[in-house]
Amino acid sequence: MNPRENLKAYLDGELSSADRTLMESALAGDEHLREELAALEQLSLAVKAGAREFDVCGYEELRAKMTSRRKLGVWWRTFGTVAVVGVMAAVLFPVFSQSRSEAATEPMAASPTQSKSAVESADAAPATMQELSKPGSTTSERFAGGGASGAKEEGGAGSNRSEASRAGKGSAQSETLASKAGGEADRELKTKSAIGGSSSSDEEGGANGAQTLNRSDARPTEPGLIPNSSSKGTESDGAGWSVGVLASVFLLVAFIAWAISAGLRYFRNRGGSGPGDSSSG
Amino acid sequence: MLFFNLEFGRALPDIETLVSENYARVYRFCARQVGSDDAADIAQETFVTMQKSLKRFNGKSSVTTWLLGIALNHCRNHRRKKENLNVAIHDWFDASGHSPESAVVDSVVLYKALEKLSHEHREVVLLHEIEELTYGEIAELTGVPEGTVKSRLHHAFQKLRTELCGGGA
Repeated sequence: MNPRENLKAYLDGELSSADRTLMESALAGDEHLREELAALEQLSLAVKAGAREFDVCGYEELRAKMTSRRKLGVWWRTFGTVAVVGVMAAVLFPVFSQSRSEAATEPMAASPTQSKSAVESADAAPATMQELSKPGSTTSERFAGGGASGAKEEGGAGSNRSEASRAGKGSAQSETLASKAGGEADRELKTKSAIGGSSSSDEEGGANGAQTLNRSDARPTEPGLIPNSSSKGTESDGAGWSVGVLASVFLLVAFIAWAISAGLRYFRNRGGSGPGDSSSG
Repeated sequence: MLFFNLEFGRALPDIETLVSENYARVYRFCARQVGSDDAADIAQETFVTMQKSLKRFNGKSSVTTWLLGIALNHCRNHRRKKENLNVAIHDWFDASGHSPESAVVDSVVLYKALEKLSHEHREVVLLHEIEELTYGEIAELTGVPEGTVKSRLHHAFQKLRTELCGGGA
C-alpha cells in the first residue's frame, strides 16, 4: 500500500496501530513524505480556521413547539385509549345483552310441550278456581284431583274421592299420560261426563286435574303473565340494542378518525426522517 | 431526569436535555448546509423528528451523530426542494477571515479550491474538518463505507493541494 494514501488518515488518527507503525517507519525514512504531512496539516488547519460561525437562534420557538406537541400527544393517546375501550364496550355490550335476553327467554321458548302445557293450564285454571272457591272442598280434594272434582260436578255421578285420588296419583306417577291428556283429555272428559261418567273418565279427569296442579305449581296461574313478561323483555332488549348500536357507530367513527390521524402522523414521520434511517442507530 | 429506553434497556437524557445540549450544534450544522436563513426551520424540524422517533433510537451511535444524521436528511430534502443539491461554500467557509493559518494558506485561493471540489468531496471535508466528525460517524451519516470516506478525504485534500500549488500558494 502506498503510504501517501494513508497520510491524511494518519494525521487524523484514524489508522489502526499496525498501519500507524508502518506509517511512522515510512515517515522516518522519507523526508518528502514528512513535508507532505506538514502541508496537509497546514491545509487542514486553514480549512478549520475558515469555518463560519453563526449566532444561534430559534431555540425558544423550538421549546414552545415541542411542549405543545407533547401536550397534543398526551391528548391523542388519551383519546385513542378511550376510543378503543369505548368501541370494545359498545361492541361487546349488545352481544352480552343478546345472550342474556336469550338466556332469560330460553326456558320458555325451548320446549314447545311446556308452552303448550302452560296454555292448557291457563285454560284449565278457571275450573280449578271454581273448585277452590267451592265451599266445603278440602285441601286434599283440591290437590288430589281438582279436575276430578270438576268432573264430578259436571258429570254428577260415578266418581268418588278415592277414584279421584287414585287417578291423581296415577297422573302424578305418569307425566307422559298427563301430557298426552292435555286439552284432549279435558274435552274428552266433558264429553264422557255428559254421557254419564265412568271411572276411566274420572281417571282421565284426574290426570287433567293433576296436570293442572302441576302446572299451577310450576308457574303462578295469572293469565297473560308469560306473554307480558316476554314482550317487556323484547322492548328493553330493543332499547339496549339501539343504545349499543348508536354508541358503536359514534365510537367507531371516533376510532376511525383517530386511526387515520395516527396513520397520517406515522407516515409523515417516516417521510421526515426518511434517510435518517441510516443514522437512526 | 433520564428517559429510559425500554427497547434497548438504555437510559437516555430526556428531550429537554437533548435539545438544550445539542441545539447549537445542530443549528450550526444546518446553517452550513443550507444557509442561515433556513437553518432555524431545519434545526426545529430535526428536533421534532427526534421527539417522534426517539423510541426507535437503538444506541448504535451517539445521540449527537444520530441528530446530525436527521439534520442532514432534512437539509438534503430542503436542497432538493430548492433544486440546489450542492452545499454553498460561502455558507460554511469564510474567506475573509484572518488567522495564523491564513498567513500560510491564502483563504481566497482555498475558497476557490473548495468550490472546485465535487459535491461528495466537499461534503466529506465539511463533515470532517468543520463538524469534526470521525470517519465512522461520517460513514454512518452518509451511508457509505468507512474506507470510502477515507479515500474521499484523501483525494479531496490532494486536489486542494494541487489547486493551491497551481494558484501559487
